[in-house]
Amino acid sequence: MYVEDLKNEFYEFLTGKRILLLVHYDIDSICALKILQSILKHKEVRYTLCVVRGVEDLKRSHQEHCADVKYFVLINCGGTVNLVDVLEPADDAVFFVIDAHRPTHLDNIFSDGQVRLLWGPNEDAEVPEFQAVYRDDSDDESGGEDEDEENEGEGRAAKKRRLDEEAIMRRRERRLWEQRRFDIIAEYSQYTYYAKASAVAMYKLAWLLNKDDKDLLWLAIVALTEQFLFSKIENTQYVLAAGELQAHTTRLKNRSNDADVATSLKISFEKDLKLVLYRHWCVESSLKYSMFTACKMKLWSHRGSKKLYELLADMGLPVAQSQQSFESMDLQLRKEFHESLEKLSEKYNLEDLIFTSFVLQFGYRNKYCASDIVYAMLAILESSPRDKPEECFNSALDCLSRRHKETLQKAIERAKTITKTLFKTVQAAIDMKQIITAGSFVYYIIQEGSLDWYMLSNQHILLLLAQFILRAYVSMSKNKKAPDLPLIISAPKNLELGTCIVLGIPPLRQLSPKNNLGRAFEEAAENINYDVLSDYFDTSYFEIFTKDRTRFFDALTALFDK
Amino acid sequence: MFGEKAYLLIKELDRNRDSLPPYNTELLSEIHNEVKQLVTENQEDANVSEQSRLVENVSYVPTLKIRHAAIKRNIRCILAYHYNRLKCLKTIRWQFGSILPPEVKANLSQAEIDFFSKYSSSLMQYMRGIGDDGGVNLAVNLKPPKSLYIEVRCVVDYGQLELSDGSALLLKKNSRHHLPRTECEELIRQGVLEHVV
Repeated sequence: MYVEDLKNEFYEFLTGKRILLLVHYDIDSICALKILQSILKHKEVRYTLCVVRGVEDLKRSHQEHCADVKYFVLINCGGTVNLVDVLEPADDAVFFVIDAHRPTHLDNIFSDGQVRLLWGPNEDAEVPEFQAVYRDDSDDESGGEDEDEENEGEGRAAKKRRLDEEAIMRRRERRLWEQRRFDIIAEYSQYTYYAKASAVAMYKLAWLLNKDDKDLLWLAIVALTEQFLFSKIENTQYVLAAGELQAHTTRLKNRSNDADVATSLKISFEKDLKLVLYRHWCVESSLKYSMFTACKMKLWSHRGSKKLYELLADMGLPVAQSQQSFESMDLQLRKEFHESLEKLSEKYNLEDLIFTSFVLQFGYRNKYCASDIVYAMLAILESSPRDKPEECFNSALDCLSRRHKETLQKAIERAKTITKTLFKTVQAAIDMKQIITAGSFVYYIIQEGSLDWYMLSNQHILLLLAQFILRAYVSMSKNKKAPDLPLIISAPKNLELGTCIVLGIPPLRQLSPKNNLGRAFEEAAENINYDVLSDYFDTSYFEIFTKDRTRFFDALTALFDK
Repeated sequence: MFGEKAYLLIKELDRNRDSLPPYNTELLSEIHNEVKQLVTENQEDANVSEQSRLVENVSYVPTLKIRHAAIKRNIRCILAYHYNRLKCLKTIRWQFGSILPPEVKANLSQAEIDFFSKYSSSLMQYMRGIGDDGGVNLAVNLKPPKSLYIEVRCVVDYGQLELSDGSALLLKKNSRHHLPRTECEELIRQGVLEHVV
């Protein structure tokens, strides 16, 4: 059921009640959570927070709390699974879901009040009609009985014949209807994609309640940038959403006293470069390790690095300056950095280096752009092998509040290590030709025992690596069909259980990020009669035992060849 | 030297700024004797001065003045000693409540114990009178709290907590909750929950 009047049916509804917040383990949900927390503080709501990494965690948290809590708010989880079936809740439990994953499960859309979706029906594309998917079975039976009573007068044999015929017709019609239903559902759920970020929706609610401010706006900006950087949404969608947030920025700009630099918080909408963390790193490293420049200029090869130095020379940046940290470069060079890169972008095939983004400034020394914060949070959430998820979650929440600057600094350092690791992995993969073509798709396997495998077994870092590898492969390959091939990447996940995680991303030529590889995985698993272990809310991730990996890939090859 | 023992008394108090040392009865009685002696000597000399005014004009006024200054100094030190100890006692009452721990009680004189119980009872009477419904325990928060509900993080695995409306709350390590201040204060003091700013 859709809830469009968020203010009355969600916010006012939850006043004074005891709720459980189930939050998915990713950046968008953390931002949405912070916004929701700050608006719930004004209402006397007692809540408990639970971190959820997959369907199993969701079930477990629900089990632990269902005896005391009647109202559940799910952030970025649960929209795509049949909540009533999976969780088996009590009859008076109510679930409010705000989720960016699509397609939403049909049972959640057509639920009669137990599952309430906090967005409008216009955000779900191509939902089939209710009649096509659900059917009242009792209609069949009652039709038969009525006919029985009417035809009492007829002869026995004639009546029996007619009833048999009618029964056969009804059964046939029912089979056809089920077949059609199966097709409709298959078509509806084949592509997985992302819609508007949950944090942006939460920010709109805060704005409706007139409780928004620059902090909350910055959280919404970070969530939107995360979707853009991980290519979860298309360029046009990003530009539209960024335009809306920019309107909010200008509206909030005049409110506070921005003249006092030491205490004010300024958000500005500027052009930015697709270079990772360049403001906190040195120019040469940033150019070398960023996915965009590395793939366009093939910086893993010897010729590529020479080209890099050419580019620096053309920009007028001495090598010594480019190896110092960005903040210590000459003021003149720093100011001209953007424009010189823009001018040379055509010559070095670096179009699309510029995109519009937001920059946050507070105090005299702190200037962060949205992508910096996204990478820092990614580093906290996904690159510490020893910390438990709840602790990482707490650190990530700390990092977003401006009081813990050292957390942010350490996270930025770790993000630099992650970027370097990704680059080195791609370099090794290309040099040793480990990216293998299997006819209609490309795959790459990360072996256990390679350095930093634990980093790569997490969802989003694996996604970044997959995109990097696909772009690198396409730029190096002479195969004309390369931009049409999807990539499947596999990394070890749990050494004790012997499982590995498999991710598929769509080919480069397909501009829209809609991903139907999840469906391919399911079908391949069915073909080899494999018991599916998949726990993730995003169906393009899959988990299988390492020993079955080759069989699985063979099944996939057979499926794709069809 | 006059006033030396008084100086020792004050120095002892200064050395133990946050805690109460035992009530130094001997030093106090020594100072008491010194003051008495000074007073008697002064009286004799004052009488002699008074009597000799008419006969020889022998004046001990400067001596009298010095002794008087010493007496006043001693009395001032004794008063400061008692006053500071009482101030310390009052902070102890606000921090620990109306039951004195036995180590502290051993260091007090009888008069101080009496003072403490009387102070405690008048404080309780006052606290019972303000606010409705039985009074407000002001010793819980020395600064007024800003909000009714606070966000807390669980630091250790505590298990089930019974809330005042009967429902139970599972406190696992690193879980976060948003609860009314009254439910959490006890646990924050015990160190089970941590207030998240």
